[in-house]
Amino acid sequence: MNFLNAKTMNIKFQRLFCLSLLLGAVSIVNAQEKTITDLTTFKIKDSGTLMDADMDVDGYYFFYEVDKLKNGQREFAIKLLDKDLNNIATKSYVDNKNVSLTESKFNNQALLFAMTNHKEDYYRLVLFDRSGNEIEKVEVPATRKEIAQQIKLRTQGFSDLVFSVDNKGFLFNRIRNNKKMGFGLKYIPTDGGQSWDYKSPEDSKEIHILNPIQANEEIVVALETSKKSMLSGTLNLKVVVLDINNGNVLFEKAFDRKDDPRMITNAFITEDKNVVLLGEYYSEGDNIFRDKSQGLFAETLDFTGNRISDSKLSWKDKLGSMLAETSDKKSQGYIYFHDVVRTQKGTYYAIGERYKRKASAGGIAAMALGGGNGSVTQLTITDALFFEFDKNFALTDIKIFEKGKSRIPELTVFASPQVNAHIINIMGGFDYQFTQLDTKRDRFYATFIDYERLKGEKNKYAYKSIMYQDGKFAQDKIYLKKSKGKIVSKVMPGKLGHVVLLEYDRKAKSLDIHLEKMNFHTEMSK
Amino acid sequence: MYKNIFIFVVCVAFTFYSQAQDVVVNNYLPDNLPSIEYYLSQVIEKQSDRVEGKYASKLRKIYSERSHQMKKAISDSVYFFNEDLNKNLKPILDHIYQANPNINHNDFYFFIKNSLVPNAACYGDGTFEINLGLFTTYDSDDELAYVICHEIAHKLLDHSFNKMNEIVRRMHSKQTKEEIRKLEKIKYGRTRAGLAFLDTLNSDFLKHSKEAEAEADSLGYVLFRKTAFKQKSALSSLEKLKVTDGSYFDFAIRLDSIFDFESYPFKSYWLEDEIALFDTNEMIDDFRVSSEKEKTHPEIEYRIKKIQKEFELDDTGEVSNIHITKINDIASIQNITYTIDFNLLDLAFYQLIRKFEQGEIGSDYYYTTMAEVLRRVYLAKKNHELGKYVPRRNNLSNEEELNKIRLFLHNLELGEVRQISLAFCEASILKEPNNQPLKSTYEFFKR
Repeated sequence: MNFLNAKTMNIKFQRLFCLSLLLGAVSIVNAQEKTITDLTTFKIKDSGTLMDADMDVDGYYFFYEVDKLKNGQREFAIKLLDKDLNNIATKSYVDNKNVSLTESKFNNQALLFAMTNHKEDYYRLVLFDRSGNEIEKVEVPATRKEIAQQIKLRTQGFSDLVFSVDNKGFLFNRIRNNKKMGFGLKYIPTDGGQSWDYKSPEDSKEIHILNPIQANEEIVVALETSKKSMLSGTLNLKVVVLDINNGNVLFEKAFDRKDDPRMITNAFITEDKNVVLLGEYYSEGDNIFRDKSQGLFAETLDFTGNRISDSKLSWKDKLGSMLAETSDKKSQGYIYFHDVVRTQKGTYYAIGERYKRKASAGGIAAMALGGGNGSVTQLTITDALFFEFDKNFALTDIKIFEKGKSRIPELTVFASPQVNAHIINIMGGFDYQFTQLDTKRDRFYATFIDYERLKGEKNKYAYKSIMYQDGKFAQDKIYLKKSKGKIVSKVMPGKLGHVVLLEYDRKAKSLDIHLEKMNFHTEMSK
Repeated sequence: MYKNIFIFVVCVAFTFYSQAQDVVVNNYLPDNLPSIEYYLSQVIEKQSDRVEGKYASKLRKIYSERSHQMKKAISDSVYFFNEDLNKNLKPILDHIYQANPNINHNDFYFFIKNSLVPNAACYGDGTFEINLGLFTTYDSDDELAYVICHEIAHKLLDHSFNKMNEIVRRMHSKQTKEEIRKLEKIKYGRTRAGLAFLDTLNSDFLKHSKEAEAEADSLGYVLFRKTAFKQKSALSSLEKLKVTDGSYFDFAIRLDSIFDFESYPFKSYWLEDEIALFDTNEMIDDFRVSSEKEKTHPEIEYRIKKIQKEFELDDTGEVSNIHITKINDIASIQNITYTIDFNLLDLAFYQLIRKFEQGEIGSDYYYTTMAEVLRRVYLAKKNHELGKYVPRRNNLSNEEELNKIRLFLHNLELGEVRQISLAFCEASILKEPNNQPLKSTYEFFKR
């Protein structure tokens, strides 16, 4: 598979840049010149994308070690490419030898680089203004254990450290070791405002994790999850809304298992100062990871937490009946929702994939032959579905985009298909990759990797982007080239509606990297 | 990262340019390819045979690679082989040779390079390059003749050969080896020290390069004044090279009126730019060495003054444009053709609009060719390849008009390209009702 998704991009980009570094060396023909080259080569340490909350790519960064300095210090270089892949800056940065550039974000006013050092007791946040000058260095105290835990979570694809708030500031979200695991959210303003901290209680007997999901110039919307222990099956979830200017809690809204369990997949802040929460709801007492949801919901709250509306759509009623029309009973299966988005016009779209539990022929055969490791059941992932809702969250349509079947062995036959689907989603097993929101043109782009079974030719993986605008869907795809022999092919997320295509010829040492707009034909779809 | 300094050093050693260098490719091959390849083997071998001393083997290796590179450049269609152009260039060359019988030009060959950059080069072995962009910069045979004399002077002064020797000698000298040994022993700040060392080397090479340019100006003028070409053209020839980066691309391209049709009005968001990470027009680079900012050539102003100081120039007489007019006609069209052939569609777009609005090309050619360029844009977008051929807008580039075209071409969606192209073809067919190629492109978009 040669697609780089947002989760794995950091690691893969590093490899890519090692390749591109080799390119520079090809014209060096003799040992003398090679020696000088070795003396002046920057060594790549980290790389990644500058990605905002809407999954739009602002640019790309590369972190190199340049020089050894006295007292364990090093000179580093931070190289930046803009979203059009133009090389725009290389900044010098001096820090301890063990530092890593863990994450970088841009908020239209400044660039923030989060530096992590697993052998020191702090994170260092370095801010540059738009003239390329360093404007601030913020040290956030943390224990080595906390930093190690954070690094571990990050490598597993969880927990972004930095959340950018356009034209306002940055939120730095870290793990804290209280009595049990907690969180610490630090706000760093870039508009002259004041900094603040919001932390979980130090003496809490529960594990608390915070995840900011939306913010604007007035509020921060974050999801706080808590549970008694790592092994505890009960997870409590609440929405916390903070005043971005001082960090005061404006309101909290709990969705606990015993009262009103809900899975929140997205939140929006509307122009008329409301917060819209979107996701799936469950029956009282249900576990949101284990049990089948009762349906989808859109709940609107004002900035004080008063409920303006709460629209629910159950599987039993219209949701189920309309879904039943989309396929025969045999192929019905379940829907795994990846995201719920709200357009600027106030309509909603829930993006999901159909999956079904099936016996695995391979797994059964392996079992029969005594190879006990094969799973006898698998999740078969098929079509992409877009549930369309009006402003009042009434279901108006379901659009189906056919995809090839992906078969993923279930991790445990004893758990429900829902639990397996959650686990498989965390492991990146679904075809869905991400959704980019283009608020300016009121579009969204949902991206999938589809395994196409083609008649008369070899099956292929396709990078498939489905775009919505003005009530219409359209799609485009790019077949992923298999890395073959000396040619390494990659596809990576680009800026809104774009894709980065990369081809590296190991023999010719040539790198072809270009950004392409996806093409959409509105006459397709159901 | 800074290995490009080496690449640069080797390139400088081989060539003596009249202006900055550029590389563009096309698909044309000469009819007499085997004989040209034989010629190249011969002249490069001759040059290789001249080398002697401690570093002879290293130099021969470099010359052997040069032969390979030139043949590859031809097969990659870097050059333009055109009988009509050569027929018009030949009288200018013959005139220079006749006026300077001491020049042994038996081994000389002038390759015409597909490039818009006003540039010429001498490779020291008898091969020369003249870019198409140099022809279109000049209005007289006299001006072109001076640049050719300048390049021949480089050859007569053996600049390329000497320079290559000097670089190889310097790179392998005891002093350099000692410097490298010292660098290797540095514990702290070794990369910075290495960069500083490279910077010094590079500065020295550039200094010699500038000295060589001034020498070639003087000897070039000596050769030139023996001809019947007007002496004052030596100065105007240099004057016309006094261009800043991107100045060829300063013609205002009014896309919002050219592509505004009643049936499909221009949309302002086609030229909408996105917020940049940095609000600066210059590359931010804390590791940039000073020699990277230096030029290979002395300032034109300095060169003009030097010639004026060394020689008394006769500023009278009428210049000739017998050959340059024909050469320019061919070069001007070829500049458009090669950019289309190689899908350098932003450059094709710019040239077509500029040349049409300045009356350099006719409406028939403009409408047909622009429709073809639009067809290629459509196909490149459809195949997700436009980014391979057309660079993205870059805030650090001062080629503002070209940037505008790049932004436009990349911002357009596939369906919008089709709509614009249909509207363009429909409007053009009204003006050129008998234009069959245009009609055929229209049919392509209608389908």
